[in-house]
Amino acid sequence: MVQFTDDQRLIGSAVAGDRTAVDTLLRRHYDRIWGLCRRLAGNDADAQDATQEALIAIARGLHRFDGRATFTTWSYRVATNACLDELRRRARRPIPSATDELVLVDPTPLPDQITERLDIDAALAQVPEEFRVAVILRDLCDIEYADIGEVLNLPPGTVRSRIARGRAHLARHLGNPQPSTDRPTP
Amino acid sequence: MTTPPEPPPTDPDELASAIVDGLLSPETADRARRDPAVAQRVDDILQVRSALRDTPPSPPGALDAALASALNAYDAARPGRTADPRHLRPVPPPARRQAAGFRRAGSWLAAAAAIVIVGLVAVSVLRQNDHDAADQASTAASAEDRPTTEAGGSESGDLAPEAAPEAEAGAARSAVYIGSAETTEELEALVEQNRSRTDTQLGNDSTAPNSAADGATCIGLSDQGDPARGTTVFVGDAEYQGKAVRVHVYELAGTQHLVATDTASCTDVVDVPFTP
Repeated sequence: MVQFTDDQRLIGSAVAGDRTAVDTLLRRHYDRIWGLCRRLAGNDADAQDATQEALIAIARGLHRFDGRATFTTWSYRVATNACLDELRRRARRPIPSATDELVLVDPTPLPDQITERLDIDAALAQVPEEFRVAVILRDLCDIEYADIGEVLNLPPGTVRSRIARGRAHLARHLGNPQPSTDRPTP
Repeated sequence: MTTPPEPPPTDPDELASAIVDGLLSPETADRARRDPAVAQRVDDILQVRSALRDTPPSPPGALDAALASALNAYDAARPGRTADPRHLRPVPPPARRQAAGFRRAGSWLAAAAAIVIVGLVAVSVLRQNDHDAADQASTAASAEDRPTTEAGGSESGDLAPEAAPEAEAGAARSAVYIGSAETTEELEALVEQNRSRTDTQLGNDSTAPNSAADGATCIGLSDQGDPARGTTVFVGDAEYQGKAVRVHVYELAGTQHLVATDTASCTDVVDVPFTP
């Protein structure tokens, strides 16, 4: 609640032209935006650019924030769209992935933690984007279903379905291939 | 009238997902967990969630770079600011950001190398000329007349730039001496020739010292130049029509401007669009 109130105050100052308030606000929310973009991107380099685009979009759009949603939810929506746009742009350019570089350049065994990160990155990359985004918003960002629906502009039933499908995809790609009735999602 | 509770999903994946998110009543969840496939999927989801939350930290410097760009965008988006483009600073496109990072690192390395070379050259020169005090005094007096120190052979681009004395008029820090020009075109050519070894994103580098803040009396003579003109992508010293000038190339909204400031009078003697 304190953070919410502080955010409101900072946004008010930012809209009034206080650059320091923008700086403080973005610093405060940087880590979660980074986390979102990092997971959407699957590697650090793309995530850096995507995060930058997300922060730019938030900074540019502050005056449009109307307070109907929390700043967190609103900024996730802006950041998600900005990240996905940036990643789609980059996808048109052939850039070797971090995984490729690591595998090709250094064949020595990687520490477990890095291996797990590569595994989760690789698994996420296999998940269709619409499912991946829903899972990341739910399991990484801890957003409620209703807010995810608001972020993605989807009805609650579709959100629930996409999260479930995305989680199942991830579980399968990470080594637990249980049979599942893959039905088309709404 | 109340909405009747939704029936629990029948699909094991949706059932497991609903259990994890607490969407089912405890009784329904317990009943569902008795199915080994559902129980296994619940465990899977919890493991995946844990792995997902182990997000790698952002690389050093990423926060500052992203914030700088966002603040530039904020400045540009403010209605009161758009009327005066001198207050705007460009937002570097993402594709260039990494390259800029490498250039920044490269320029710091080049600067470090330059300092070492300058030191070695200076020691060598001092030893050779130690016997001729008169000549040495003359050389020192000559150097003080210049806004920057001229690097021997620097115009050829083969040697690293040499630092200027701290006490030069107006400029608190040194810059690369790029040569002498009589026309704007010649000055542009000098900048182009020297860009590769001095190109830097000073305006986006939060660690770069700000000469103006350090005591320079003329912002046009500081390393970072005038931020109101845009991001400084090049800074150097030159002689223009016989006058010592500090040269900045500013980037603003995707276009570049070359500005040469007379070090003696702190007036801009050249201010032209610059196409690299």
